Amino acid sequence: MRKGLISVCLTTLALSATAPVFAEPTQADIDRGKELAYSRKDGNCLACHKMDDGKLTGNIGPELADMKARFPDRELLFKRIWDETQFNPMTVMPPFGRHMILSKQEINRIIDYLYTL
Amino acid sequence: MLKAKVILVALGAALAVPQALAGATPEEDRKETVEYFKQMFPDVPFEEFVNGQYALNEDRRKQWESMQDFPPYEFAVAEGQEMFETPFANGKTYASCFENGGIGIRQNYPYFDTEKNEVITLELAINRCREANGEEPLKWKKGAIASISAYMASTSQGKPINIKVPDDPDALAAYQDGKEFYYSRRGQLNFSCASCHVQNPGKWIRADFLSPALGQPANFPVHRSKWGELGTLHRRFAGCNNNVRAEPLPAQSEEYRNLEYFLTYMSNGLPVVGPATRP
Amino acid sequence: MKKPLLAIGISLALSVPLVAQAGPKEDFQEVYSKAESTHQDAGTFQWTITSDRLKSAKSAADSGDYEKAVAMANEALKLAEESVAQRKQQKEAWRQVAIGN
Ligand code: HEC
Ligand code: HEC
Repeated sequence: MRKGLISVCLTTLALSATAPVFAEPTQADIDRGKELAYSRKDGNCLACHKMDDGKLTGNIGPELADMKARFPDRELLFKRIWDETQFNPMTVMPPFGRHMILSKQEINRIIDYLYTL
Repeated sequence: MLKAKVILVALGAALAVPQALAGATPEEDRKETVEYFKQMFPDVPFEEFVNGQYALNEDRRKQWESMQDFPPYEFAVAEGQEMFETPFANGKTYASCFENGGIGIRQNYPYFDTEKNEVITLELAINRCREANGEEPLKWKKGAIASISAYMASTSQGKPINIKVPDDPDALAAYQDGKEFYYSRRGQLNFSCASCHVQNPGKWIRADFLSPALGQPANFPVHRSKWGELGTLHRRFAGCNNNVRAEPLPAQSEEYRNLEYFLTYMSNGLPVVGPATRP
Repeated sequence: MKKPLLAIGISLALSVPLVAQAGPKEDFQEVYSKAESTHQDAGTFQWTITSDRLKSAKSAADSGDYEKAVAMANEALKLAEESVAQRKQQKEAWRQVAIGN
C-alpha cells in the first residue's frame, strides 16, 4: 500500500515536474541531454527529427530548431515530450514519459540541450 | 473518432484519412485504402506498389535495379524447387497437397478455410502437407520453408493477388481481427503498423525509407541484405513488432495469420512478384 | 502489512540481520509475481522491455541481490501496467487512423 502511494506521488511529481524554478543548466547537463536525444536506446529523436549536427536523421517530425523562441514555456515543452498523444491523439511520437522510455530527469536534460538549438 | 480525423487534417500531420461508414466491408476497406495511397502518391502507377520503397524513391530504386541481374535468392529458389519435387518417404510429393499441383497458386494465399475455421497461409499449408505425409514440419521463418515458398511464388509471378473473404461470420471475424491488429498501437514505443506504413510511407525513419501498406505482401518471401538470406512474411512481422519494443508473436500464430489475411486482402489485384530483395 | 513491520521493528531493535533478510526475499516474490501476472494480462500487447526487466529481476534474485531484484521487479510492474493500459485503450482507439471505419 505504501508503495502504491509512493508511485502515485511520483507520477504527480513527474507531471508537475517543471513547477520549480530551474537553475541554469551546466555544460555537463547539456552534453548529457544531447547524448540522450541522439542515442538509439534512449530518446532516438533523430529517428524522426532533423536537429543540430545529427546524421542520418528521419523526417517524420519537424526540424527541432530555434527552440527557445518557439517553446518559451518550458513546462509545455516538457509535457509534449512526456506525452504528445495528449496534444495530438494521432501522433506517432512516442509518449516518452508516460511509457517510461525516459525519466523525468532525462527529459529535463534533453530540454536543457534543446534550448541551445 | 471523427473529431480526431478533423484534428489530423487541421494539423496537416498526414493526408486526410478518407471518411468511411462504420461496419465497412472488406471490399470497401480495400477500395478506400487504394484511394488513400493514390492520393498520397499520385504519380505512382498502381502496379508499382508491389515494389515497396523502390516505388517511391528513385535513388534506392537505381541501387536495387543494379542488383537484379544476379538476384541473391536464385540458389534458394532452385533448392526450393528440388525439395518441392523430391518425393516424401511415402512416395508422394508436395504437388499432391495443392490445387494445380502447387504451380501458379501463390496469389490465392492466404485463404479462409470454412471447415477448419481458420486462415491458411502458404507456409502453413506446406507444413500441413508434410505432416499429412508423415514428415516432420519445417521451422517457420527461414531456411527450407522460405525456399519452397519462394519457388512456389516464382511459379506465380505476375498473377494478380486474389484473396477472398467468404460470406461467413468466422471469415469476416478473422479479417476484422487482422485489421484491428494492424491499426492497434503496440509496444513501449506505441506504434501501430499503420503509424509507419499508412501514416508515414515515403518518409525516412532514421536511415530507413518507409514503404506503404499497399503491395507489401506481394514480394514475399524476401531476401534481405540484413538477413543475408530469405525470410517469410511472419519473420518480417516479428521484426517490425520487435522494433517498437512489442513482444513478437509466434510465426503462424492465429494473430499473425489473421494479420496476413487482412494485409494481403488490401493488395488484391496487384501482381505476385516474390521472391524479391530488400535492404 | 503488520507482520513485516513488526519484523523490521524487531530486527532494528535487536539488530538481528537474519530476521531482516527474510523481508526483501518476500518483498521480491510479491512484487515479482504481481509484475508477471500483470505482464500476462497484457495479452498480445506485451512489451519486450517488461520481459527484459523480469529476467533481470529473476537473475538478481537468483544471485541473492534482492535490492536490485526488487527494483527491477517494480520497474517491470509499472511497465506491465502501462502495457495493460495500452491494451485497454486500443480496444477503441485503433479506429482513429483506420481506413474504412
Ligand atoms: C517516431 C517519430 C518521432 C520521434 C522518435 C520523436 N518525435 Fe518529436 N515529433 C514527431 C512528430 C510527427 C511531431 C509533429 C507533431 C505531432 O505529431 O503531434 C513531433 C513534434 C515534436 C515537437 C514539437 C515540434 C514543433 O516544432 O512543433 C518537439 C519539441 C518534439 N517532437 C521533440 C522530440 C524529442 C525531444 C524527441 C526525442 C526524445 C522526439 N521528439 C522524438 C515525431 C517523433
Ligand atoms: C516504426 C516503424 C514501423 C512499424 C511500426 C512497422 N514497420 Fe514494417 N517496416 C518498417 C521499416 C523501416 C521497414 C523496411 C522499409 C520498408 O520497406 O518499409 C518495414 C518493412 C515492412 C515490410 C516489408 C515491406 C517490403 O516491401 O518488403 C512489411 C510486410 C511490414 N513492414 C509490415 C509491418 C507490419 C504488419 C507492422 C505491424 C505489426 C509493421 N510493419 C510495423 C517500419 C515499421
